Amino acid sequence: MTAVPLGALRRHRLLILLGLALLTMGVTVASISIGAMRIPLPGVWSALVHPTGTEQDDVVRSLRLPRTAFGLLAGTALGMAGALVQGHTRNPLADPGLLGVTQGAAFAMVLSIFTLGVTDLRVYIWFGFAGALVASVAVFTLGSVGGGGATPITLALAGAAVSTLLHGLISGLVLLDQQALNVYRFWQAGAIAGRDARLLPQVLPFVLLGLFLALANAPGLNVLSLGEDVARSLGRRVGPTRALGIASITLLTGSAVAVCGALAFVGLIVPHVARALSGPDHRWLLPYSGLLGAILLLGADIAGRIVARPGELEVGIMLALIGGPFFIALVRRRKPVRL
Amino acid sequence: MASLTARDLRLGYGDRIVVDGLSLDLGDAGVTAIIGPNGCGKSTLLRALGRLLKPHAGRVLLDGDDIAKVPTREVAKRLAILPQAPQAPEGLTVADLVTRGRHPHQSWYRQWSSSDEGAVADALAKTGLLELADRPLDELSGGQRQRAWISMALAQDTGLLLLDEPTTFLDLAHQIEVLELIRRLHADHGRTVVMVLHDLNLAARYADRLVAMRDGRVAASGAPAEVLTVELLAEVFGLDAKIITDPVSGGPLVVPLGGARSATARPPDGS
Amino acid sequence: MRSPIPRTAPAGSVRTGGVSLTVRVARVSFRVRPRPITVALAGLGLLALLMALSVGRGDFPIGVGDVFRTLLGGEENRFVVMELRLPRALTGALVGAALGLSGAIAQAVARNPLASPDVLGVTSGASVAVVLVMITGGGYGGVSGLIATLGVPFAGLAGGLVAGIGVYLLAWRHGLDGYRLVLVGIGVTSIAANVKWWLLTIGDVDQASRAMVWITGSLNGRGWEHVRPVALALMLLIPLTLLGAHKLEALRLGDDSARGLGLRVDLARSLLVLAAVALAAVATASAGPVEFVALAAPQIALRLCGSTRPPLVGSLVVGAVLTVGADLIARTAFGGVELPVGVVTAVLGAPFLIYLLVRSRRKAT
Repeated sequence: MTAVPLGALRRHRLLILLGLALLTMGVTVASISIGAMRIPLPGVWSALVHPTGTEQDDVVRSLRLPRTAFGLLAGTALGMAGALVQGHTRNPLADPGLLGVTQGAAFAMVLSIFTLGVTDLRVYIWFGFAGALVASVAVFTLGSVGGGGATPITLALAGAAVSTLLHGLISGLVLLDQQALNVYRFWQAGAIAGRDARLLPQVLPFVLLGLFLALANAPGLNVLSLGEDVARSLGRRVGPTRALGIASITLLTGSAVAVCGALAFVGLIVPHVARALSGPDHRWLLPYSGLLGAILLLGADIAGRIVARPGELEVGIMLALIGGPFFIALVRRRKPVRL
Repeated sequence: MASLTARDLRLGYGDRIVVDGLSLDLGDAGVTAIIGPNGCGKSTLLRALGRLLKPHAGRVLLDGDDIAKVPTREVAKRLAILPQAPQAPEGLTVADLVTRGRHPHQSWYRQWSSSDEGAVADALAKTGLLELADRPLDELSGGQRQRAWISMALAQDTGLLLLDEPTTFLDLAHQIEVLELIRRLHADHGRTVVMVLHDLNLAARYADRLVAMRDGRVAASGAPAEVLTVELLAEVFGLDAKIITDPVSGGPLVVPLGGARSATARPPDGS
Repeated sequence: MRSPIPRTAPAGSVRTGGVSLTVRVARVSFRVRPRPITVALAGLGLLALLMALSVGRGDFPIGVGDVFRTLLGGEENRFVVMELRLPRALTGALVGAALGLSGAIAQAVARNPLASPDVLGVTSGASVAVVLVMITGGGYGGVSGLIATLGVPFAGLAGGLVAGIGVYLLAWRHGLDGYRLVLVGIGVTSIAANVKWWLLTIGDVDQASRAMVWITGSLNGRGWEHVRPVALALMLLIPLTLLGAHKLEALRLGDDSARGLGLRVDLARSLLVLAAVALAAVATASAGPVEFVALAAPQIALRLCGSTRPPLVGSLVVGAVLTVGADLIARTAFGGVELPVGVVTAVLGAPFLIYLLVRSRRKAT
């Protein structure tokens, strides 16, 4: 008799998960099919399964497929990282870049262009990735000094300070070097189109590792959200749990922004929507956020191809125009959910 | 039955020492209530007993093992501690909360076993919350919410239960309800309970044993009738009171005599 | 917790600020605390010195004494001091003062040490409008060079006001809640930032570079035409804001207590927020969104004055000192290269915030 409420709840959540997964598949197919050249579904299928070298097959395999894959990758990574960072800082305003990851990646890329004259995208994304790691370790260390370990408040403040410092340095560098500015402005705007497909297998392991760590962090984050005392009384060590979460945020955000630019907005709004569907259980919230992130990013990308046909609008601006008003409406309609 | 012993504890926050040289044996005591004036170190002691606070010196022994050396997850299977006025995220349901009490028994490959299911159902049943299982915590009354938190600690399925002021913010009827529940936990299920309690008369009625604290030291400890004396109340609380026999339980009942003469004896503030 | 936003009580917030003097003349009475006054006076002295140094430095160096002599009516170097260099220093001081004051109000209303006019949408709104003018003004017909030059400050002012008032209106729902204000502000700021970066990618890199200077915040080439409007606006806004200061005090106690004290909470908060928006918009229009001043100045002033809340006059003075000092470094520290002042304020301010963070942790444990 007791199993009834628990079981029903779980079935309900599984159904939502299934729905989101189907929706993700839907936008994936749509993203391959829709564009300046509209490719019907049978065409998509034949291009993927037995390509014959037609122009249509070429568009699918060398343009649409990588673009869609990058969208799925970055959307999932940023959505999950956003849910993690909001859970760990207990701050609804936290985005995956809060812990210095985004500015760290940007600073390292700009610096590598400025000092070493790196011009190859495939080289400077590694600088970006390394910068993300260093910045996030610095924030975690600064947020933990003075005893007592990292708390939500010190993490957020340390993140804001480090990000501001790096942003100031970036502004200085790009004003001295137009080549660096040129890379930086496109990186800031964010893009999933026109990325080199060879990058995909290179960042994929990091994203997969990040996703795995995020899911492994979910039970710990659940008990942490009851307060540090309760978490400890349930046998959870607070420091390692935070460290695991931050490692995951860094891997996910670092790989996503290094390749696709500063699209951290996805990670800011998606968890709020996911939370409305899942409630505060991170074991569900995290997968929901990941799928919703992919849906939002690909959806915005597709919308950008439709509104400006035969040209297209970049995904960054579409995200702002679709996601921004949606976020504000959400904030206005509901009593703000305090974490 | 689980035993918990404190040896020469020195506790504090930073440079401020709250408890010094405290030893206490809580083995096989049934229900123990720690009483004392504000700021005497009751909650600090409880947090140290539940390894939430690391002692500056001294040891806490859980069944003979130094609690600081036992892996925290192992401790969590033997001892549950519920802090004062815990906070839950918005929208969390009662069932979700109680389920989280199973955390120490779960691992990444074993998320939800039949024993988890059983323990949660059992904890909900004991606290009478089965009907409210899928209600969000923020929609419940204060008494129901407190029962839900106790239910979470019960789902942890430990022999020892440490509770910090489980009756704060509750009206008298709900206080009785929670304390009756605690009483049953010991009587029917053999749990050992240690709680910090403010109300002396409720402590006397529901605890097998009282520990009276003053300025970070144990002033007296023993059965309620031994501890609650006119002299002790004057010494520990600076309270002028009469002790009569509780007409319901036959135990001691404290009747204060027109106010405290506490101007000189008031302990330092803060907790 | 009521507000999930980081809300750190300033270190040592138990102090009430030490001694206070009571001044009563007929029906007028004030309570005056000496320490904030000392801080403000010392700050003004430092500001005068920094401005004199700033006016003195350059391709044609002038000693501090000579600068003061010229300002007091001396004829020597009159053109260089009065026409070329003083306007820049004055703009810096005024802009810094406005940002400091605006930040103090924003932090008090949102009860959040991370709040600043950025969160109210002002700076990002101004940036979008200015980048739009710069990018389209350069190439795509319609806006000629002259209009683009005159249009930049105007676009900044209009963009800042529109975005700031927009945030205010969108956040209004049966009253003005500080928490919702911040959430809406973040939403609007995110939209504006994405639009800004997208606009920067459609122009060529030279235009982007010029726009980048503006959106970092620069005092380069400011003349009397920049000083006058901002001075006028501040002369109007600062007294109004300071008059509302005691209302701010009551708001800090929380809505219910403030109502209990007989304050019309929503009205008071609205006026204060709109004043903060106007101050920041005027400042941004004249120098661009100079980073970090609005956030850091109130936090510095609060610690210098030993008070529990961002002191308005103190924040104003500290903001001016910070901006003029950062501009002095930006102009002179890197040889021939002149950096926009916003780079220096961020690079100076961030370590300071980190220092405060570490220090307050030490005290807490």
